[in-house]
Formats: sequence, structure tokens, C-alpha cells
Amino acid sequence: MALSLFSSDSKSRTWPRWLVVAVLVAIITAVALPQYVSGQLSWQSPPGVPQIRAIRELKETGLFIEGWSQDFQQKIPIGGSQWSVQQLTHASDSTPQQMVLFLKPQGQADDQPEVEWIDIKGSQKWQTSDQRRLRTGMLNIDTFRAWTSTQTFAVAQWYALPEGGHPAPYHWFWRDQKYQWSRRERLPWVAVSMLVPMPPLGDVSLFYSDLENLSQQVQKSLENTVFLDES
Amino acid sequence: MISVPQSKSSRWVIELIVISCLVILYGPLLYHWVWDGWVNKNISIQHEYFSHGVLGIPLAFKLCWDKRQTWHRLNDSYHWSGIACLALAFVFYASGVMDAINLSFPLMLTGLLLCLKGPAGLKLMLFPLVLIIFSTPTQLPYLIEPYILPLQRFIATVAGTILHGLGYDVEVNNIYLSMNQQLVEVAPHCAGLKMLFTSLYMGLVLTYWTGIYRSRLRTGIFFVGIILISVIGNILRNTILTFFHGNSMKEAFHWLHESWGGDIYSMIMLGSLVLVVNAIQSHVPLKLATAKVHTDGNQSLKQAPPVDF
Repeated sequence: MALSLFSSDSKSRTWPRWLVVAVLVAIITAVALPQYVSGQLSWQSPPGVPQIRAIRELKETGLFIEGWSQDFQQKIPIGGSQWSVQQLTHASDSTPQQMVLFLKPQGQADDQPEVEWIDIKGSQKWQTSDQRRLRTGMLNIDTFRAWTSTQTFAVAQWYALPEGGHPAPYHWFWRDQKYQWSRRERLPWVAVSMLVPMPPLGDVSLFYSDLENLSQQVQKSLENTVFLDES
Repeated sequence: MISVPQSKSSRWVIELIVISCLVILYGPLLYHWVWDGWVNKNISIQHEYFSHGVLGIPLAFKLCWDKRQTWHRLNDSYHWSGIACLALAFVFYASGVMDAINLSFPLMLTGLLLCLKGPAGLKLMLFPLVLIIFSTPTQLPYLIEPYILPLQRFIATVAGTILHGLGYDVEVNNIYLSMNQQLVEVAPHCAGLKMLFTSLYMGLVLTYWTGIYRSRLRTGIFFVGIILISVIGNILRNTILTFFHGNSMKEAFHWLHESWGGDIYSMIMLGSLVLVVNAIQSHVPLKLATAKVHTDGNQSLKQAPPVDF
């Protein structure tokens, strides 16, 4: 049959058509058939997060940070999922003395960052002002002043990832895609909302360097514990 | 096989081989999309945004089948970009990354059209291809969701105002509605992004079906109408959901939110699209300028050769 085709048409015009068939057969033999035979369909065994157990454990234990002692830690429901809230005090007498850390670690490999910042703002009934994005090294953080009827905080928020972090879900998304292509793994993440007490109606920009230092410490602590890839 | 005249069997030989290969490559994947993702809803919310593919993909296949004679009359030719598409589809398919595997399907089809019949082949099958492209599940809704926050706030505010006007004690905080200590979140998918996707897709099919795509004015009005209907529909839906939730009517809430009450809501929405398209066809002129000379407008419609997508 192939012969008749070649004789009826000029060769130069039919070669792309047979090239098409060659490409399709190549994909079938190289990629599809091995998957079908082994039963390991790539869409039925999506990549996972190797560190998922350690990350999930954060909800129960909170995060240990070098030089800080923990006053209390608790698992609380916010916006339909579980967060860890902990209050930490610095051991030495440098300022600031206290901070509150809200952490929402991903629960499963296919959990994605979504509306964490709205959830926490809603659950804590914050009023906010002075939104600003700061950048320190590989870390981008959203900072603002948040207050309730009783307290005022300088807040920094970001999605912590291995090697850096960013407050926007799209940043996680593109790095996750890269991760999937290069390592066949999903990119782990922890939503961090860090609160430093400040005087009511105070100037939040006076706390920028504190927020930058502390967020670096929290990020480093996450990278050295839960994000550590043992494999 | 032997009894079939040579000319007839060899006429379709490439197409038959190509289609068989496609079935082997993508049959299991499409089964996964449809059965696991859209019927059993086991993949993800993002995947469910594309559930209109249940109708769209079979429709695309049917349209291709209808065009088979025209396809055959086209001269064999090829375009280099087709080979580029095929190569990219190969890489995507082999990557093991879910979105890339999904995207390899429309890429592969585009490549095949360009390699077998060249740009003319692509043009002939453009509409079915567009139907398949817009049914291909990707993470696009995930990337869009953060940007529809103002819409979520708007819907929450209007729903709150309506309930307030009816004499209920409702508090609106950002995208949250609280009534009798019960909190309702107007989430992105609840804000009707999914319904908007479905409505726009059905709108696309209807524009093709009724032929109103020949008039830019009618198409424009239709799509503005689709967006308005889905926003208004969602305000009503969220108002009713908050009402059920606030009054602890758990079964009613569940019925409208996840059960077949939601399907009825979708049916009403899609049904109203058909009504809108009918209204546009009978009340909206083809062009603003020809509004006065109505007869001319009608004639030009008859004379215009049917545009093939």
C-alpha cells in the first residue's frame, strides 16, 4: 500500500506525511507503550513532595527558631483549614522582644497557595494600612500595619519555599512548574504570617528592618528543617 | 481489504493510521479527563473548570467528521510550523508533567493539521480545534483567580445589601458574609468563574451554530450579555446560599451548593443564553449603520458566502 502511494504521488510531497506517522509511532513506542505495559500512567501517579510529613508536622509543633523561646503554640482552624499559631520571645534583650507566627503548611502534595492572606485577615478581624512589598535577598515579603480594637502589629507575609519566598501565588506556581519539569517533584510551601507588636497608630516603616531580619530568620529556620530534602 | 478498490483504501490510509495512533496516545488520557475529572470530580477544582469539554470534545469530533469530504478535497501540503508543533507535543507528552501532557493534545492536533494539509487544513478545522483548546484542562483558572477578588467583593457586597434590604441582619467583611454567626465565603469558584467559563464556551458554540459571528455587533452584545447574566446569576445564587446558611438550613444549602440544585441553576443559566441569542437575532441589527436600511442588511446576509471556520 505504501508503495502504491509513493508511486501515485511525488516523493517530495509525501515525505512529511510519513514523517508524521513516524513521529506518532516513535511517541507510542518510546513513551506511551512503556507506561501502559508497566501500568504506571503518569497522570495517575502525579509527583509528590518528599518532605510532606515534616511540613505537615508543623501544624502540631510549630517552628523552632534559634535564639527564640516559645511561649505557647496551638493548632487553630482558619478559613476551613488548620494553621499553627505560636508566640515567641527572644532570649536576649535586643528588640523586638516578641513575635507571633501564623503558619499554614501545605497538607497534601497537590495543595496550592490560594487565599491564605484573606483568610487570616478575615479570621483575625484586622484593619490594615500601609501595604508595601519589601525584598531582602531571595525573599519578598508583604508588610503592613494591622490593628484590632485591642492591639496593633507590624505584619510580614510570604509563601516560604525552598530557597526563597514570595507573597504571590503565581510565584509559587511558576517555580512549581520548573520543579516538576526538572525534578519530577512538587514544590513544597508554607504560608507564613509574622506579627510584631507595635504601638497603636505608630509608623510601620520604623519596623521594616526588624521585619526583614525576622523574616530571614524564619525563612532560614524553615529551610534548615522542614524543607530539607533527605533524599 | 483486498476487495476494496486501491484508490479508496489508500485515499484515507494516512488519516486512518494517524487516528489510530491518536487513540492509542490520547484515548486513556481523555478517559481520565472525562471519567475521573469531570464525571467523578476526582482530579481538582481547576480541572472541573473545563467540564464543558464533556459536550465540547464530542461536538468537535462531530464537526471534523462532517468536514471530511472538504478535508479530502484539500491539496496535500505541509507547513514547517507543523513539525515544530509535533516536536513540542512530543516533548510535552514525554515530560510527565500533567499540564504539559494535557497541552500536548491540542498541540499534536495542530501539528497534524499543518503537516497533512498545511495552513488550509488548519483553517478548515479551526473551529473544532478551538473547541478542543478551550476544553484542555490547565492551571489557567488558578492564575486568574487572584485577579477576580474585586468581583468576589462586589458579589458579597450586593448579596449582603439584598439580604439587608429584606430585613435580615447581615455583616459583610471583604469576601465573607456572616448571618446569625454563620460565615459564608464567596470563593473564586463560587463567584461564578466556573460558570462564566462554561457560559462563554457555550456562547462560543451558539455563535457558531446560529451564525451570529458574522456580525460583530451581535457577537459583542451576546458576549457582554453572557458576562452580565453570569454575574447577576451569581449574586442571586450567593444571596440564596447565605440565606440558607444563616438560617441553618443545611440540607437546602447542600442541595444548591453541591447537589442537583446546582445543576438546575446551571441549566437555567445556559437556557437563558439561548433566549438571549434568539432575542439578539430578532432585535439587534447586523450593523449599527444598516439599522435604518433594514432590507439592505438582510440582503447582504443572504449574499455573504458562508464563512468556513
